[in-house]
Amino acid sequence: MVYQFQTKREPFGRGFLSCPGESKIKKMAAGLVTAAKDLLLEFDLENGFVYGGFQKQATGMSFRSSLFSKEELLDELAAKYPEDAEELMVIKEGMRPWMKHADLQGNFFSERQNMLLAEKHLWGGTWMGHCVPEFAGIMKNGTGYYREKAEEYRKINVGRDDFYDAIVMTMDALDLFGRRICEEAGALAEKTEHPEERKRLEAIRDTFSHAPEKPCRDFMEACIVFVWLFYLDGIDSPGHFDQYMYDFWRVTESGLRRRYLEAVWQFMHNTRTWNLCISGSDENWNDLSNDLTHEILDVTAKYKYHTPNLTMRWHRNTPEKLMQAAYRALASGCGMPALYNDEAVCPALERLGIPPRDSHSYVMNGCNQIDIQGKSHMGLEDGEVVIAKAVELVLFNGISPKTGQDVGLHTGDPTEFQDFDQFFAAFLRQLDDMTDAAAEMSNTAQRAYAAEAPNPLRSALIEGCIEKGRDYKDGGPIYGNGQILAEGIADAIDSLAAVKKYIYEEKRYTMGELVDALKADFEGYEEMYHTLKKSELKFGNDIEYVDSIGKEIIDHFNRRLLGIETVRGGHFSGGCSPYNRAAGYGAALGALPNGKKSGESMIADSIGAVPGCDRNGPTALLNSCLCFDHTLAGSGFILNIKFERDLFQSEEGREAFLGLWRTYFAGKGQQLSVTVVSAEELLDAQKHPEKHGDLIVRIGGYSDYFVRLSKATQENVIARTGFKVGA
Amino acid sequence: MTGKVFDIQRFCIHDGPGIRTMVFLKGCNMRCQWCHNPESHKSGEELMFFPGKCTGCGKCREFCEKAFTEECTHCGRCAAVCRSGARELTGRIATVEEVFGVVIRDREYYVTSGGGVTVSGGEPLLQPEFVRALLGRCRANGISTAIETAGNVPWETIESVLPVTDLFLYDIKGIDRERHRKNTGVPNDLILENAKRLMNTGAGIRFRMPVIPGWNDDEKSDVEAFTEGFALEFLPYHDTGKGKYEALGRPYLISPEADR
Repeated sequence: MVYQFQTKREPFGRGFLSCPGESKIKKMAAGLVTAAKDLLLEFDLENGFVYGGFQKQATGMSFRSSLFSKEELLDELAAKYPEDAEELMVIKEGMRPWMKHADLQGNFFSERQNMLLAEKHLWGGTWMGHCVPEFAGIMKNGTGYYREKAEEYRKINVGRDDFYDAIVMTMDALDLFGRRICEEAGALAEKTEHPEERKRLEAIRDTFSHAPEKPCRDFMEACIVFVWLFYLDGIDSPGHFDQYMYDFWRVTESGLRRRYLEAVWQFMHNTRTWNLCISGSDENWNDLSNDLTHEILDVTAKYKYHTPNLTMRWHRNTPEKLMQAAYRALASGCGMPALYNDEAVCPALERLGIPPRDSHSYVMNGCNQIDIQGKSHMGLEDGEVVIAKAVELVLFNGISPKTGQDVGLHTGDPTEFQDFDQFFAAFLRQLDDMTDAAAEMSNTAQRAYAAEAPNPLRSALIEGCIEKGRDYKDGGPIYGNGQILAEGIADAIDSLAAVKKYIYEEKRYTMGELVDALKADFEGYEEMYHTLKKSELKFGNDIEYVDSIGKEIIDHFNRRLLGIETVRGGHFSGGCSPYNRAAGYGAALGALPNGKKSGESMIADSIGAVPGCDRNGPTALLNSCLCFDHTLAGSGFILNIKFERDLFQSEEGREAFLGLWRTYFAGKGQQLSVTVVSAEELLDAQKHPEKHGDLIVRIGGYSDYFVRLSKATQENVIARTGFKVGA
Repeated sequence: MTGKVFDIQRFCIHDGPGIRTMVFLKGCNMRCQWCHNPESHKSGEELMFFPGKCTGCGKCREFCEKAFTEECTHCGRCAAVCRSGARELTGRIATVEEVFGVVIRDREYYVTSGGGVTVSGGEPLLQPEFVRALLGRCRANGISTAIETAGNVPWETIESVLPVTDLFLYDIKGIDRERHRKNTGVPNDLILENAKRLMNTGAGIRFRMPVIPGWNDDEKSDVEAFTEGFALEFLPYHDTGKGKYEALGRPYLISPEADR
């Protein structure tokens, strides 16, 4: 029996519950249709956009969680609006059975998987993840294109009617939205006295007089439709904006298009939009940059917002002019764009079976993950492995020393290993075991999402889904590879180098002594602690002895992943991305042979050195990082690198920076995230010099480590670099 | 072939074009009051102490009863037991091969940025054989070379490094002879004469003048006139060497307050 709702609240939930007996994807589409009729529309008169999305709703869908039902919010609404309370409770109870996907740990993960998650050294598939749909498909083709496509493939994929009905209903919902927006904008425009606001409302009205059913005609219309659709989808990553918008850009008058570009920038800032990508090469290495590319860099430098996360693709034919423009944006101090290298990313994607035509249309989503816009669902951080944990598991024979849990393989009593080779072999076994566990966990989650988390809007906008009659979570997209990222890389390398040097080569300590010292968190082993801590054998200093260990373990990790299949119909690939999770991983680890103490949360947060351990400058750091084969890591292989502001203020600095960039990328380094050092960091370096051994400051013809300068000079440096010293 | 080196710094950008590796040689025959590399003065090893890094653990005292006393011989063995890095021994003997091994690692960066290697000091030309051997080795491997010198050495020494040097960063600290003696401890006849001769060789030269307010800043136009036709760069005064004077237990004779 279908409940007849009187309330106008929660249209998605009402629509979802209006068709009992139908499949989940069709219910989702029904939710969208009801939302198109009743969802509150918001007109942004400053920027000239219209929003209608589920961000403030208790029921709805988003890329983050697929279907959601916020029970607490429904309770709050019921208390606030007693007249609707009964119906809101019907929605709450009605949605609950469909929310299984929101509790993987309770519904899908095994006890052991839950235990491994709690141990914080690996995880897999615990959220829905990002991807980059082809938003421009709606702006360029209109919804009619997708309806026709659905009907065409319905004939081929017999028995998938639910899926195709959902696609058609979703397109109907978009058209309904459009008609309503057109009416409401028109009515508002008539009432508005303010001439500018009226003009913007009329622009919205005129746009939706034909869109989204028919294509957009210029950049203004494309921006209005893009913002509306992007908001409805849940605010993920726009993707290759300077490419798919260019056809609209070039037919639009320059004042108007700049105005709307800036308005889009404001919108993305206000909504914390994820990742927007510019420039790059096609499969013949022709440069793809255009005047919109330059305009985006200009807007980035102008506003200095920290979102969207702007990424720029570099390749052998990137024009010098574009590199200079990127340098100027970086010099503005916003830390953007992040720089990606086609020369490393495209070959990495080709290893996954993606042909050059598509590998060259990669974009970034979320923080740093890689996707093929409108063709893949793989940039979703499927899992993570804390590489340093494998060292700990060898030292404690599979037992986690902090919790006593049996989490790893029993690789044997380490005191009985005869040489470093045996130790290293045990390390690789532990690492493989963790890698496999993360991949399996990810696949468990992906199986659950495939069954329980459909999204008809994304399935329409990602190629392959309509062609196969399958949802974007259910192996629909052309490419369904997966991503397992590495954390704590340098901590593992430094620890292995220390074991090799001090236990097996110099025999300064026995393995038993080392294990005891780690157990005691170096309490009573001060001499050993300082030897390990002060050891020069740290990754990031261009030392062959250390870097060769790094190459062996990370290339091994990445190769192993390439051999593991995803349930989405692809293979996993490795990478490394910095996240705030790194601190938590560090705290979960006990003391390590690199001199990390048990309570310390500091852990390498990218492929670079453990913070403060790279003391030979950026060229040495980059050389160390080039020891890895970056074409094995298809998931984004991130290097955070810090520079003092001076480098971005002088002619010499610019040439030096461009030289670093060119050399690292010519050497097939995959990515650079550049940070220009801040006042806070210099101040922190004064308070905690031990954490900032790598901070170099340059004045005139002289340079030195910041921590070696006298207090007075440090103050001087802070003042000279133009920083304001805050409280 | 060995040299006395006190530091090698990679990724330097202010001493010659592009990305450079600086090789600092120890020992100098001048004593400029404003020198920011006091550890370069003496040619032997020296012990430095950075009080800001000292944790007061007392390990150095346990290790050597002479530490921190008048009897300290600067042997530097206590630096090896210092955990915080507060005690540091500066200066070491290095082979050409060893130094070249560091320089070559950044060759690709020199190529993309138009950089290379710069030997500095101290006064590098007090070790001309080492400089010749090192720069010759660099040149043979396609690395551009520069020497930062004050020119206070016999002309024959400068002549001997001409074939291996792409660029001279030549310091002129002033034209007034007496004042030069007062400021740097030596007269400037030889320096100026060598500069004139160097200008006639066709070698790449960039003259540089450290401008110290109250000490030589009124001589800028004289130096400009002297170096006419060649690149001249004025280096602003900074007191970043102050911490190192403290670390070496030497008085810092010039203070910015006094200059104003």
